[in-house]
Amino acid sequence: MEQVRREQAGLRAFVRMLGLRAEAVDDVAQEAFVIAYEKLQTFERGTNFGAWVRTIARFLVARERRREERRQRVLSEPILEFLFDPPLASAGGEDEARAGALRACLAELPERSRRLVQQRYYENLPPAVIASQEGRTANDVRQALFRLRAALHSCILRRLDALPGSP
Amino acid sequence: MKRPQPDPELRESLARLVEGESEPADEQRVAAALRAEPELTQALRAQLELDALLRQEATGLPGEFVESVAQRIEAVRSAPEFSARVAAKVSGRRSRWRYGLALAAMVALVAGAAVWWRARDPRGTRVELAQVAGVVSWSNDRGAWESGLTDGALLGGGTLSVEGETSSAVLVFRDGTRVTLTGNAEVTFSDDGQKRLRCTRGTLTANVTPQPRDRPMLVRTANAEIEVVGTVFSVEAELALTSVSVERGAVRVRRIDDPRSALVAAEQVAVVDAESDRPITPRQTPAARTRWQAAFETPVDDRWSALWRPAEGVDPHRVAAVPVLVGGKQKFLRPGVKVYFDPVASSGVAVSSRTVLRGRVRSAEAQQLSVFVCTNGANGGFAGNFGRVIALSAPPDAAGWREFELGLADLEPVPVWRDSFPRAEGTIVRFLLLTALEGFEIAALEIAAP
Repeated sequence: MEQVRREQAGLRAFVRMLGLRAEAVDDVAQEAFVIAYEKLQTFERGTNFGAWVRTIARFLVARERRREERRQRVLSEPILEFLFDPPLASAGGEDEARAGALRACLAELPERSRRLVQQRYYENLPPAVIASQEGRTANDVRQALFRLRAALHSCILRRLDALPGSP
Repeated sequence: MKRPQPDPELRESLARLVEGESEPADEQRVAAALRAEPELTQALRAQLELDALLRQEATGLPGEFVESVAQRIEAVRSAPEFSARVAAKVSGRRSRWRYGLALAAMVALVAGAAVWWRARDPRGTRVELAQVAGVVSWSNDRGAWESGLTDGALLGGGTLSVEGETSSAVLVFRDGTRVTLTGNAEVTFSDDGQKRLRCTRGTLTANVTPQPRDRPMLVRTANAEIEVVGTVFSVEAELALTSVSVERGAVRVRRIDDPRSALVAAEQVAVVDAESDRPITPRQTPAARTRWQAAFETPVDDRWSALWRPAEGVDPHRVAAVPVLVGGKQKFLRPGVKVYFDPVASSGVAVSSRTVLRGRVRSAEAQQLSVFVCTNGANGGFAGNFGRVIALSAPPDAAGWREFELGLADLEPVPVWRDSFPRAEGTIVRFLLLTALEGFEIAALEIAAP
């Protein structure tokens, strides 16, 4: 169960990535660990524990989707099939490095982009609200966020590649 | 990440999907595109990963997560149906001792992980000290203790003591939030995704970067709790009063044990009095005074650190110095007289180029008087500490009283604040401290701009 400590950040990110509403993420991630514990005898030692627990989490998210009729941000199954089949390998101990790289990349952003990150993620404002505040269209804001995430992703990869011990 | 160059409709669908605003038509369009363009899968996966990473960065990780998992597993493990199920499976496939050992190891590991998490706090609290003046020490509840801290020290969660009225320090959190402590302050802090500070004495000024909406920064004093999402504000935790001044943004303030709260907006001040249960009423931050004086005709109140003495014979009403803790390279007690200015009556005394401090002081021998002021900006934020030592060289009158006068704009900035706050002019004096090597009395004090 050292694995709980190692995998919990990645698992939470994974569950969130599937689009589960924020307040349910921790509950589902914890339940995934509990089920993993209950089914531990079925886990094949030597294989990827993180990928296994993510597969469990994915089923739990699908259950959440079926359970709740009201619209929430859970990706539809056809898209999940493409994105996560086979399940993503666990990032394991790389979580801290990725988070550190993200922080460094955020610090490099121009003021306008940093403001957009703050509004969307730290203040949790929907694109439409940001758009009304900034005198732009919601689509403009969504596209700007899309480009911003792409730039951050490239920056993170560049920084991770530059870390000592990187291949 | 290789940026896709899809048609405008698909681009809009992709963006809506990542933002969680997609309609069924968007998802159908994206699913069709994913089948046709494998590169798009990587790009979309990267977008979703980044979105998740940013959300996680914004909301942080709960320190209790591992412990919660441990508790849930323990509950499952101790449930009778689970034990029966385990027993059946074990008898069928594995030896009992081996499974029991695995169970025990698992529980031990979960517990160990929880302990490890609490002890090491790997993604939890880490703050950097900056602009340290005087003696600053840190301790935590596991017995660690460090004193004589200097700029750049990295600290985990614990209690920071800024010892001495003239000492100060800044805690810089990883997200750039800066908490300035002045005036013999003590604060206990932690950050496990949500910043929690408990200010037990002194003054805390915070410049808070936007915090996750569901994890606002919480500042507690003996009688109040302040909830902050992102703003600049000051908290003065002294005696039975907590005063909160907001420079920018807004904070929510409530009395401990009272669910009612009040929103304190920019340029407002609220005072929480431990001895009153009246609703908290924010008020416009009062304008700074341009003149203040004290003749000590009545006993001094709690905002003074001084011993009041009534008129007696030829001696006028006066106050005598009391031991005051001051901090330099070492902390020491000095005879001193200190006064905080009432934040409700006024935000302090404004310092202009012509503002002077005057007084009548008596001591057994001619000596030097150290004048120290802690200042705020117009709406409450910290604006620097300033001081100067003057010689009480004027000849005494028949009763031994000497007069002194000093231009407050001429005060020198405390070295660590020299770059940030080089001049006292334009600031507002929040507290005034006079100290000397030997005991002294003061019969009159005045700050005025002639």
